[in-house]
Amino acid sequence: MGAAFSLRYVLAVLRPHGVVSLRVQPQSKARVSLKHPPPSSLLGALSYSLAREDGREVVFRDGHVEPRSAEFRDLIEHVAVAVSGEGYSYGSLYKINEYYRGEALQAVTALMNTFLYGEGDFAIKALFVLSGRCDGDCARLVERAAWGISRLGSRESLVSVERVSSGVGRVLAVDEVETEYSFEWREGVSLEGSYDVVFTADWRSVLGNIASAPRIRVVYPRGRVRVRGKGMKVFQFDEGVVVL
Amino acid sequence: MGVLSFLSLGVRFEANVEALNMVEVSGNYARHRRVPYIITEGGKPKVVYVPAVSGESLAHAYQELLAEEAKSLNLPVCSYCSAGEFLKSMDEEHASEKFGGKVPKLSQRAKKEELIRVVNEIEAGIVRGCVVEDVGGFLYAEKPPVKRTSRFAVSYALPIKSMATYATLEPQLHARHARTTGERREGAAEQMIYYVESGTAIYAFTFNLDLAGIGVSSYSGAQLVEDVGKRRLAAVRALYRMLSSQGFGAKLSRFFPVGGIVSLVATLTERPFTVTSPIYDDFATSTRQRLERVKATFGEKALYFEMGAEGYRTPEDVLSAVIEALKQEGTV
Ligand SMILES: [Zn+2]
Repeated sequence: MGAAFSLRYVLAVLRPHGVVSLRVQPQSKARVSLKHPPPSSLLGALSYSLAREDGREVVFRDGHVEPRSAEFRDLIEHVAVAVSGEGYSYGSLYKINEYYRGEALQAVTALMNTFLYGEGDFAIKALFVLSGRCDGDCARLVERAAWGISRLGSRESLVSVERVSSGVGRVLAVDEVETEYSFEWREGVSLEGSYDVVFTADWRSVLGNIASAPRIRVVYPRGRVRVRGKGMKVFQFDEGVVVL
Repeated sequence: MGVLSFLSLGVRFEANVEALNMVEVSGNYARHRRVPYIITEGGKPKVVYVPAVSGESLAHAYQELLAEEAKSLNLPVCSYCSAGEFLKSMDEEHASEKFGGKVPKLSQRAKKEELIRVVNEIEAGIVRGCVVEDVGGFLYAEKPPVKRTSRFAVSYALPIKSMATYATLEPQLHARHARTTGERREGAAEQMIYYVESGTAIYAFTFNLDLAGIGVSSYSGAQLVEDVGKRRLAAVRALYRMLSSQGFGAKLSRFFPVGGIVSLVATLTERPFTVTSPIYDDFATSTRQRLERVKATFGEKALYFEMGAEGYRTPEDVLSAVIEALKQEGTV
């Protein structure tokens, strides 16, 4: 086990209100919905609440307009998610009839959503590991913002925050770990257990133009997975462990 | 900050024989929107499809009522939103009336300062010109693009979880009239049968309204209009009317659902806080407990309203109390 140092964290347990609409960016005509919340959506969900403190949703940076999350990501060292229960993607087929200025038009489209809806109880645990720049006051602000997460992804994907916990965890180097949280897949790592791998935008990169952002491969454990790799950096906190 | 300005609402309503949200029409068959619901049968997961109403459908109804409420308070609403066509200021053509025909543009070699100025001017112009776009947001997809996030958010209306498998979808046969008098013409499309799927369920949905963001720029956080209080009042009144009249969904002229609101909780907070979804049976208890936790931890003001408690007998009682509290607070 390598030398350890400490970082603060905030963990929010979200309860979906049925639909989680996470669009694959960039969109094509066949609009796909992701089954797992990508880190960029979690950061966006927290940013909405943080941005409301002064009403500014966007920032101007280098001649571009960027969402405010571009500013808040400096407060966040790492984002991970654990989802209990598996979503189901479904999109109704729509036939759209339009009568516009004397001309009748018709189009067919489908809009996918992911439904976290069923007998079982679904929960989305969103973990924010705060950077060293985020002091005690800042951590408290993030904690309140976490309570204020109201939407995950776009449009109708409302969530309520059922529980928020916070504290200090340790960053360690280990060769093997078991985790329920999502993490970025890297070369030289072996996995044991059931999981999905999703190609998604790197949440650390420029969020203004998500279409051109570099992609990362994120592993979403179904339940738990065992991860092996020489000297992996992990974050260990009261309620679990996350591969960094 | 420090003012009650975030409203969250959880609604359960009983709807018998409704056609609130139709999607595809295939030939003479009109299908109701449905969503998958995962159940366990004999230890194995199984998907069943239950009727649903999209948040988009609810949002449309809300914005129509918002346009009416705004106009009744002498607030500006653009011609498209007045007509219930919520294209918003999506391009120059649809934005132009807010700028007397001249939408601000970037010059050929625009500098950073100019971008900031033009983006601000466009947002401010649209917000000043139309309350529906102020509250409901818009996406101006020209150069430069300007986006305003909606100040309200609404979930899908889904059958409550504990009774979802009792929700039904049935096609109803209808027949169009055939003439009985006059000459009978061969091949004339007179009589026709058609089917409309109707649903029955106890539905639940969540509605959030961020009053602090109304009349305020997304880019600078500055207040853009003088009549912020009145605009906020229009936004809450529209919600009142939507719940009171059940004026949402399609086909209401023939498929007005039988039933009504069976439970309702509302919270008013300083910062965002969302009620637990009423699809869960414990939603009222969970909402109340979480609200107490937030109040105690952060020393914030917060109010809780529940239909059936403390003299709030009807949805109108709850919404009246919400509006009264917002008036006392000076929010509206
Ligand atoms: Zn308008």
